[in-house]
Amino acid sequence: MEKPDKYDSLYIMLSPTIRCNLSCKYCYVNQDVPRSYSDMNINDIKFIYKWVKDYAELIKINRIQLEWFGGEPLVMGGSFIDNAIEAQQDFFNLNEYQIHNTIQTNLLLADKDENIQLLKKHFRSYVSGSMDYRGGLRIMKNGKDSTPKVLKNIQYLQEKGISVGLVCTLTKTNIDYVDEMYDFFKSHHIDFRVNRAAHVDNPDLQSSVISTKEYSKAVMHLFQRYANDENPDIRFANFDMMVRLYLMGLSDICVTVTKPHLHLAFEANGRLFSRCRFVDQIGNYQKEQPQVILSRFKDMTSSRVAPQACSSCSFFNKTCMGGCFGERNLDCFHSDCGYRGETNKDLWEFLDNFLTTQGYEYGAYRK
Amino acid sequence: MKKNKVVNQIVDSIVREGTAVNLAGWHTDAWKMPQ
Repeated sequence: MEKPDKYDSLYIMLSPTIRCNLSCKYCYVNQDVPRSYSDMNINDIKFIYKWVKDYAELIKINRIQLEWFGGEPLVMGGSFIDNAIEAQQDFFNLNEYQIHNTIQTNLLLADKDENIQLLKKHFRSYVSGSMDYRGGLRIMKNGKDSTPKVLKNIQYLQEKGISVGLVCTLTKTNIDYVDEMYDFFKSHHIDFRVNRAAHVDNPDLQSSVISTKEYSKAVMHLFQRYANDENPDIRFANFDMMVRLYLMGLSDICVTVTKPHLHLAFEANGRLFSRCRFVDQIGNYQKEQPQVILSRFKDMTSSRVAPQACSSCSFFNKTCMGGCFGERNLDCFHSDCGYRGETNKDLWEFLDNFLTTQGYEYGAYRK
Repeated sequence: MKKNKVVNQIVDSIVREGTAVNLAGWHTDAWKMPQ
């Protein structure tokens, strides 16, 4: 296992519930959730904190990013999450540990007073939501598109002084409107990143899923829009992330490839995953000690084999390592990642050419 | 000549703030953890 470097932090995804008030057509969560699944209670959360503290000590990391996820985390109630975050100081000496809480929400409940207070108190008045511009696949339980309600809530949050970023999924429905999408997000002061829809077992979805090439073409077009914007008042996260890594000369695009032990996803009933739970369950935190899980990661790292499709790519060692951008792909490094690698290659070629032409050097801001 | 405004903003952010890089999060602000 590599020694931690100064950039390393432990990334924790914590899903106190997998319940959700939406029924998005591309949702992957309900595919593999046991019927016995329950919500976490505050004692479950505290158990996880203790486990994470022991694990962090083991790997000598004192920087923790904790992302509240779901399901929809806000169905737990703002006061539950408030209490849960307050309890962190009982387990972590905050002079010694730096804990950065973030939340990913569908924003449907974001207009409630307790949630507004929560976002101000614990999330630095910034919320990352999910909404697909011209999407139509994020459906409420009553069958209606959630977008109008979410837009209304975004406006309300902004009026209350809370900044909003959005994760927007690209599908056949909206991929022809990326220019309009960019203008919309910019005019509404919304940071955004784009993803592809995951491959889920939903026949209704198949006609909506875009190809690797369609995706990279759309992202490159957005790169051009953003990079040539004279007044880029918002952040297009896909571009920012890749340029940042390029300039800093970091090859571990997806640290889940090179440092999988830094990524843990906790669900109820002890279910513990690596890599944002997109791959196999790695263990059970209620039954297994951190040392056991860590040794399992060591086995995972040593058995890793690069995809054949990556072997001839000039960006593999330089910028990519076959990792993903968290772009919602279920295929992973250890299996067949051909189509994701194709996306990576397209985007790195574009950026490498763009940045070199503009006079920027790879690794120029390496620390 | 390094002239791109958007990229220069990112450079400023790297130089000024120092930035942890962690792309696993879905959060649009996830990599912005201060050092």
